[in-house]
Amino acid sequence: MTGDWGILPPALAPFAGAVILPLLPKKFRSTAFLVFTLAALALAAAIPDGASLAVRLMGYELVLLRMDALARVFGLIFAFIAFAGGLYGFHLKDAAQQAAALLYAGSALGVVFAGDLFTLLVFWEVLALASTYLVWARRAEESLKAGFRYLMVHLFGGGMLLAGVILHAARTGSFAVERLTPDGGPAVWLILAGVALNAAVPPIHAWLPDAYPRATITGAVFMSAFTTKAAVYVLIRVFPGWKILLVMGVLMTIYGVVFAVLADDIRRILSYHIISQVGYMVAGAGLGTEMALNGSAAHAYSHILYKALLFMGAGAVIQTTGRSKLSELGGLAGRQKAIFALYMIAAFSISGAPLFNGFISKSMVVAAADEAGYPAAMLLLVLASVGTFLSVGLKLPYFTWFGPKTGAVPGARPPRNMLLGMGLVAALCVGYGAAPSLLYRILPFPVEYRPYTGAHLAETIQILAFTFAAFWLFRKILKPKPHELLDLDWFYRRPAAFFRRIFVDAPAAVYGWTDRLAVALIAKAAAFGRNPAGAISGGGDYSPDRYRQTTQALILLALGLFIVLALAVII
Amino acid sequence: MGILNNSPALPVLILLPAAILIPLAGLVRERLAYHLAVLSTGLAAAVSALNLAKVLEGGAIHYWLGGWFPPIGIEYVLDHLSAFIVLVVNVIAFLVILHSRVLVAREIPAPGKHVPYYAVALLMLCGFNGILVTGDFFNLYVWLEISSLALYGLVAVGGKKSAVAAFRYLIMGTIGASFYLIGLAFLFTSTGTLNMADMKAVFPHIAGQPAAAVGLVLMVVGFGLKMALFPLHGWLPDAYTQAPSSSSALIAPVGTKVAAYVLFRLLFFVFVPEEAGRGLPVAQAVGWLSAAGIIFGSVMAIAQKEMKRMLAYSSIAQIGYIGLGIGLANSFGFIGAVLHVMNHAVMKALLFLTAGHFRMRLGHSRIPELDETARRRMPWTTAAFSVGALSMVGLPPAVGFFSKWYLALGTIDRSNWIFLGVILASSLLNAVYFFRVIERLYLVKSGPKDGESESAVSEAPASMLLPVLLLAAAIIVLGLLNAFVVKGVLQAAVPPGMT
Amino acid sequence: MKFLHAPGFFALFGFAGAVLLIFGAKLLGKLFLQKDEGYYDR
Repeated sequence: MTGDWGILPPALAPFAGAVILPLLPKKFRSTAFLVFTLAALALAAAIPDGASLAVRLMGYELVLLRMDALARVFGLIFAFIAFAGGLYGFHLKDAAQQAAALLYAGSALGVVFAGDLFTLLVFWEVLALASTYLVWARRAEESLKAGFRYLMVHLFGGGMLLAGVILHAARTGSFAVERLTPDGGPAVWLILAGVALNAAVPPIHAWLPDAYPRATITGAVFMSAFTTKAAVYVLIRVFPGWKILLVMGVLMTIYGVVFAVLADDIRRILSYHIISQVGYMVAGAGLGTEMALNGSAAHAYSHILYKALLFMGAGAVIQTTGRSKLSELGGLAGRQKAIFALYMIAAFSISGAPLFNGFISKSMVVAAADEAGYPAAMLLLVLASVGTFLSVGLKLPYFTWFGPKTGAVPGARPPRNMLLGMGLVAALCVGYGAAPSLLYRILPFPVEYRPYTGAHLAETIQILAFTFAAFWLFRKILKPKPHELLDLDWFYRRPAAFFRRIFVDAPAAVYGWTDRLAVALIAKAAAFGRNPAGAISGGGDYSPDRYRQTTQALILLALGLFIVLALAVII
Repeated sequence: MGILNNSPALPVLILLPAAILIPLAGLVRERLAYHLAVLSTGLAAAVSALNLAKVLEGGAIHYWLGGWFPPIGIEYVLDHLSAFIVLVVNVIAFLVILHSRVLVAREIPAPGKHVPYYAVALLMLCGFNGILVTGDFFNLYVWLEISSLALYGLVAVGGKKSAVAAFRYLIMGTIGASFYLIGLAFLFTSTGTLNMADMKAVFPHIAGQPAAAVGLVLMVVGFGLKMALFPLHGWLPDAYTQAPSSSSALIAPVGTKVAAYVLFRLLFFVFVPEEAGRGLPVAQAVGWLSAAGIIFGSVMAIAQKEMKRMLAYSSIAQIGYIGLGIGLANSFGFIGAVLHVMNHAVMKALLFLTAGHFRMRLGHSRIPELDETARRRMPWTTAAFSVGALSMVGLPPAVGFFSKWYLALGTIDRSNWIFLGVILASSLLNAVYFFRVIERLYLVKSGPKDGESESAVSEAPASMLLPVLLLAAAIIVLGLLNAFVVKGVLQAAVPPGMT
Repeated sequence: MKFLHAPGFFALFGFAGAVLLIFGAKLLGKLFLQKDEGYYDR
């Protein structure tokens, strides 16, 4: 091994935690969770730039840790949100979920700090497995099915990534995680496909709004952070400047908000929003300029914070009312002031309101698009912002906490740790929003962008105010009814039963049929062999008397013939 | 020690007398049968390890029975390939036999059959060892017959259905063995020798003759049937399902691998594929049939509702990987195939043994009826099963990932994208049927009326858990250390002249 | 792009954009995307 021995990959802490935590007595587990995530945070902060840890294996050099500014940004926020999630879920008694969450966080850290593609691949697979458990752990029938679909889709993505990595390694002899260009052959496109799947780029995005609303309440908080942002990290690191990402990113932002406007389940709205916000990050990676990449990373950082808070808030609503659909909620504001307030902090952040962290990060990407000479892209991104405020900032909170009552009654108050976790994240949202340089100094490239300009403030306030006006005018149209929202996963969900019949039941049936046929043939042959004469003359048991005369006659005939022939020869 | 000069023959020389002694010992006291079996397989495993060490150090070991040299005498050879596979076979056999006491007592009701069971099992293992070390084609047939007849006995002992399954296996297996014999006859009349090394030297001179081609193809088909190469796999599902759990655990990891070994020898060491029978693409045909078998086995496994049957079809798919490696005929493919011999042996032994645990404690191994009870009352067994399942799906660092890795490298080397697609698709298919079971074990709540019966379920006894946990640990450890296995042993085993 | 800096541009953009999204989404929903619950279970 090369590299300093004193260096531990940050992923090690949550992985160790996942092994140790289930062995601890129940009352220490939640605290242990916090300890392990804090340890990861400390490691991510303390390891100096340029440090690395490499191992030789199978003739290739595997780099388990490679620290630089870009990796550190993601590492810090991943570790932090794991901590905050642990605080939010402090009341959980389910060691399996906690272990799965630790594995999930650990593998996300592993992906981010991996210096070679093989290590990245290994962590990528664990990422998929661990998060699947967080969906299954909900134990509802629909969660079990959704978890299975999620697992299959992610194994498929992992397979594409594996194929791409192998092809790439075979072609170039290198496993390094480094910038790739579009002329690298099918290998790099396969890698891109695998990464894009995790980033929920349409058309391979439907797993996200399928699985996230069906995960456990705390599980969804973790899921909102890790899978997609780990993929964003890889896009920034490996695929900067790929124009297709710019196009797909911008399309994603609009796609996500359109569906979010339609969706009924509050976590489904938030899930489609992830797609929309990740679109900004993908577009930033596609632009490839320093400002765009900065913006992408900054937005990932901010997004993890406010998205987690949004899911925390939605989770609190589900926890206290037992309902998750807007069509079944309403009029809760009086009883849930704290949750509502904390949620709105996140809502303002995601909408890019000044003094919240969305304002300082999302606009960096938008400005980068403008500066790089893509005004159309810029306008579309702003349109997506409008949609974001509309659905997450207005529609969701209005129909959850205001609007006509539908009989949803909040039960007990949410556990205090949930509010504490939410408060912690909210504090950061506001903190970064008010003091952007705190975030800017850890970004990979030097930042010249100034978010608090008169023009920017004016622009943002106009957008927010007039979107609100439009919402208020047309809010009745937006009122959701319960429905199933179709997405591109229709193509594999609708025909699923049909395909199962063709590819699974049919071969089994054919095989069984040929088997029975063969056995029947053999049975007939066996019967024939036992009694050939009987088989020919139509059955019945063999009885010597039946053939006695015929046989006697035949023998005499043959004997007679023999005597005749013999005499003929002799004479 | 002088005896170690005879070392290739030692495992055979240990197991054969033990097989004969067991019935005698059983007359004295029944328990002795089990202990003698464990002792002899353990000794055989230890000797195999020593042999492998010797081969790694000094190259192939030759031993001539009775001191008679070929072409009259029978030669035993241990090179890297056979030493490695012998070690795998004997260690797995040792662990399974060690495990078997409780299962044999439970699943084979007639007490009078326990002693002969062990004797027959040792005979089978003796036969397998013989196949692996022999350097003479006819001697191979002798060991093949011995091991096959013993194998049919092991399958048949479970009960009425097992007897039928064993009978079908017997018919098909005998056909396979006959094919091999006829093919050998053709080759013998063409070349005048039965010794493998001799035949390798003589063969290029007769390569163009039709008799040679037919002979080779017959031999490959014969062992293809024993290996359960698609579409000659028909005997496998019933045999593995109906056999008692201990027998399944003994046969499934080991039996087909021995047949695969023979194909390795035939196609890569004795007859070079391109030469044999004027460029008959025998190896390639094996590869394509295996690809079909991988998909067929995986799809059929998904359709199964009973765990042992699912594992049986899964085995067909896994053998397909080995056949795929043969079909690629390059060093990555070869390494992947031989590595998979070891990997699959470990994984399948683990899976069949844990299936046996479930059968024993839950009374059944039907998948739709599994639920949390299994996991909560039998946590170690379930954990071990999960490790095996994850390895079968091919998730690193479990050992199953690495054979797929090498095979994938082999397909890229040959630019055979269809094979690569088959490997990747099969991972997904494997995930479907294994995760279905895992999902039920971890997440499906047990029904209310199972409350009383649930308390009747308890974890398997320590004597059974120990080998199972060892195998589970091996899956991880061998995975992490696979670089050593590949570099240290397998790369040296690659046949000369293979790129 | 001069019109971007015109005063009130973003006000108009915000209002028009929101209206476009609301009605566009509703249209798409009516046309194909919104189905009854239990659509996949049939």
